[in-house]
Amino acid sequence: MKNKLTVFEAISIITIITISQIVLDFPEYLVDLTGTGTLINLIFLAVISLIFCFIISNIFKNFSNHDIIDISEIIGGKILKFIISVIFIIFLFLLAISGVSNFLFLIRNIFFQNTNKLFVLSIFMVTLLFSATKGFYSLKKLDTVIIGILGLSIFALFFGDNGNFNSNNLVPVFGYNYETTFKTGLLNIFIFNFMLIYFFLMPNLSKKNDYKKIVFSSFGINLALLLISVTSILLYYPTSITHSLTNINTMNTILLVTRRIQISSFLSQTDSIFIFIWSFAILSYICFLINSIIYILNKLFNFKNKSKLSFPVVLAILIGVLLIDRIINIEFLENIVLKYFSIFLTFGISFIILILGYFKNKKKGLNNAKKAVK
Amino acid sequence: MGSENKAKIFEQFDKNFEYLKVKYNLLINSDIITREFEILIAGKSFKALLIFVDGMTNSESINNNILAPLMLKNSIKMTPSKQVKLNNVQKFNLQDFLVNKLISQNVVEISKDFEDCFGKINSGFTALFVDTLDVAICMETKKLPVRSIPASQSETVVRGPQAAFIESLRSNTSQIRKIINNENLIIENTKVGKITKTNVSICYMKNITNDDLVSEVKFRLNNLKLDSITSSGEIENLIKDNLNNVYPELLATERPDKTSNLILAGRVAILVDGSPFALIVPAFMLDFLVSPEDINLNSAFANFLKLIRGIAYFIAVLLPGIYISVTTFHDEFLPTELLLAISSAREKIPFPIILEIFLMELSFELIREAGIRVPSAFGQTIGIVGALILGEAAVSANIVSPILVIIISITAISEFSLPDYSFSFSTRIFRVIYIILGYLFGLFGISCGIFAHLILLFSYNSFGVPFLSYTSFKSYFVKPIWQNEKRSEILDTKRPLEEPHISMKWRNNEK
Repeated sequence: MKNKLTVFEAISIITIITISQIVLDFPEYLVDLTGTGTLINLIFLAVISLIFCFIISNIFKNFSNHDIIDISEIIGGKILKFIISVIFIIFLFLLAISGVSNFLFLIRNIFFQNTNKLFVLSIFMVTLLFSATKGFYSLKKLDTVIIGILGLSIFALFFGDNGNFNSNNLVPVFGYNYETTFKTGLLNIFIFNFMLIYFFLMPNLSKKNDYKKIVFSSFGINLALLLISVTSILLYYPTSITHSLTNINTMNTILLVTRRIQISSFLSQTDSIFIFIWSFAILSYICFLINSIIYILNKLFNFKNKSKLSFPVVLAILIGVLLIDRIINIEFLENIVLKYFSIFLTFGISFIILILGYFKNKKKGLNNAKKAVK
Repeated sequence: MGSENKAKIFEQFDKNFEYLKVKYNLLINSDIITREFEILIAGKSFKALLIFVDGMTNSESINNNILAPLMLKNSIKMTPSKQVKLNNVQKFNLQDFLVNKLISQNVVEISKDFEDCFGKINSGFTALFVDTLDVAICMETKKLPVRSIPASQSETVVRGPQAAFIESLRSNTSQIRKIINNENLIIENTKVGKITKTNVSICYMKNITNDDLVSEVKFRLNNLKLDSITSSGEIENLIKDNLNNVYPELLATERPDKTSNLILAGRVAILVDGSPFALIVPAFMLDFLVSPEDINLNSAFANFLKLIRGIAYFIAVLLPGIYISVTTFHDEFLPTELLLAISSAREKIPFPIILEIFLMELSFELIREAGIRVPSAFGQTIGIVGALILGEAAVSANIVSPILVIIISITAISEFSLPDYSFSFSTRIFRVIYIILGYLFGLFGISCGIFAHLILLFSYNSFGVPFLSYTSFKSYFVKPIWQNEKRSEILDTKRPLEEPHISMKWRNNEK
C-alpha cells in the first residue's frame, strides 16, 4: 500500500519522464526528421496515440490487478512472462545508460571539460545508488515536490524571452513535404514512449478508478510540454541550424535555447540555473528506471530484499555508461536503437499482448458462462 | 539482583528492619531516615517503623498525618461494636484499620514487595512497616524542591504565554491540564530505567488522538531495557524511528501552551521527570520551522514570517555551498561587476577558497560554542572578540575575503532565525556536505546533494508518519483561525473536524 500511487504522484512520475527526455534533447530528433512540420506531425501523432490510450484504458478495466508482465503470463505462461520481462529490462537498461551518458556528456561539455569522466560520473552514480536503496516510496514523494519547478522550467523556455523569437522559423508549417511529415514522421511517435508506463500502472494505483483520469491527464500535460519545447526550438533557431547542430554533435539544442534567455541584466546567462533544475529531472528519471528494473526483476524472481538489487543494477548501468565512450554511440543508441525499441514496445508488443489478453479473458469468461449454464 | 529486589515483605518486624538496613546502607546513608515507634491498639502493642528520604518529604505532613495519629490517637474511644478486643485480633484486619481509621493521608498505597516499596520511598513516599503485617503502607509525603515557573528561554515570544516547563513532572502535567481543561486529556504514567525508575508521562486526548499512535508510544516506552534515564533527550534517541537520522524526529518544547496545542491537534506529548522539555510525537520536518508566536499573529504576518524562516533554512544550508560552486565553476553566471568585485577581493588571499570557507566556518563554530559555555557575563565579550577577529582582523590580514565574511554572516543569521535549537544542528552538518559538493562538482554536485537529501528526508518516518510529505508542505502556511476546520489528515485523528464550517456564529446571527 505504501508504494501505491495517487493521481498526482502518477502524473508527476509520467511527466518527469517527458521532461527528462526534453532535457536530453529528444525534441531535437523530432525537428531533425520533420523540420518545420514537427508541430503538425506531433499533433497528428498525438491523435494516433490518443486512440491507443483510449483502447489501453478500456482494456485495462478488465485487468485491475495486472500489469503487462502478468498479462503475458496469462497468455503464454512463465516462458512468455520471462521473455517479455527480459525485453523490458533490456529496454530500461538502455534508456538508463543513454540517459546517464547523454547528461554526462552535456555536463562535461559545459562545466567539466578537463575533468576525468569517471570523477563526474562518480557523484551521479553515488546519488543514484543512494536514492535507489531508499526505494520507490521516497522517489514518488520527491517527484510530487519537484514537478512544479520542472514544469515551470520548460514553460520558461517559451516565455523566458520572446524577443529572440522569429516566427518565420515556423514556416512552412507542413515541413519538408507531406510524406515526411505524415509518413516518415510516424517514427516520431517514439516520443510518446512514456505511454509504456500505462501498461504497468493499474496494479500500482491506490484507486483503480483513477486509471483513465491519469492516462488522459498525463497525456495532455506531456503533449503540452512537448509542443512547448518543439515550438521553442523552432522559434529560436531555423531548422537548418538545428540540423547542423545535430550533425556536429556538440551541443544540446534545448540548452542553447536557455542560453538565449535573459531574465535581466543581472542574470544574463541562465543555463547554469536550468542545468541545476534539470539535474533533478534526470536523476529522478534514471532513479525511476532503476526502480522499474528492480520491480520487473522482483516480479520474475521474487526476491526477499528488493533494496539489495539496487547495487548490481546501478553497477550494470555504470559499466554500460563506461562502455559508451564516444558521443556517436549515444546518438546511435538514442536516435536509432531506442527510437525503434520504444515504438516496438509501446505500440507493438505490449499492445498486442494486451489485446490477446483481453480476448483470452473474454473467451475464459464465455467458457465460464457456458459451464454455468450447463 | 532483580530477583532479590522482588523479595516479599516479611511479617516479622526485625527481619524487615534488617533488610532495609542492608539495602539502604542505613549506617552510612545520611538522608534515609528511619523512625521506630510502637502502635498501641486496644491494649496490644505493635512495633512499627517509618522510613523516608530527607529532603524529598514533607516533615510536617509526616508528623501531623502519620506519627501523631499512630502514636497519640490510637487509644481511640471506639463504639462498643467496633472496639477491637484482644482475643479477636486474628479476625481483626490491622492493615485496614491503620489505613482507614488512623492514617489521615490523602494518597496511601500498599506495597507487597521491597522493590515496589523502594521505588515509592525514592520518589518521596513514606513507608510504614508494622509488626505482623507482610506489607508496607506507603503514604505520599512528597515535597520536592522545585523552582518557580520561569519564562521560556529557548522559545521566546513577544505576544502569548511566557510560562515554561520545569523539572517537576507533576508541575508540568498540571500546567497542561490547566490549559486543556478537559476530562478527555489522559496523562498516563510509566517508568523507564531499571535503576532510576524515571517517571515518564504520556499525554494525549482520548477523543482525538489516533489509538495506534498512542499504542505505539506506549509500546516503545515500555520496551526500553536500560539502567538509567535522566533526561528527555535520552528518551528521544531511544524511541525515534531512524537511528542514523541527524534531524530531530521528536519535537522538543519547553512551552506548555505549544504542547497543549499540539495535543489538541491529535499528537502525543511525552514528559520526563526531571526534564523541562516535552517531547511531541509525531513530528514533521516543517514543525521545526514553526514558532509559537505564529498562532498569536494575524495569519498574513505569520505566513510572511514562515516564508522568511523557510528561506532562512535554505540559506543556512546552501549559501556557502552555492557561493563556492558559483565562484569555482559558474563564474559566467555572475554579472561582470560582481565577478570582478569577488575576484579582486580574493586576489590577496593565499588560501584556496575551500580552506578559506572552512576556516571561517570553524571560527564561527568556536565562537558559538564558547558563547554558550561561558557565563553570560562573558558572552558579550566573546561576541566582540569574535566580531573583531572575524570581521576586521581576518580581512585586514588577508586571511579571508570580505565577501566571504558577508556570506558566513548571512548564513549564521539565517541559522539563528530557525526556531528550533536541535533542528539547527542538522543544518550545520548538511552545510559542510554542500560546501564539499559545491567545491568538487559545482552546481551539479549541489543538485545531486539536494536530490539525495530530499530522498533521505522523504524516507524518514516519525512514529509511522512521514517526516516530510507533500501534505506537510501544503499545511505549512497557516490559515486564518476561522478557516481551521480540519485537523491534519496525516494524523488520522478520531475527530477530524476542529471547528464547524462557520465558527464565527455571531456574524450569521447579525444577519
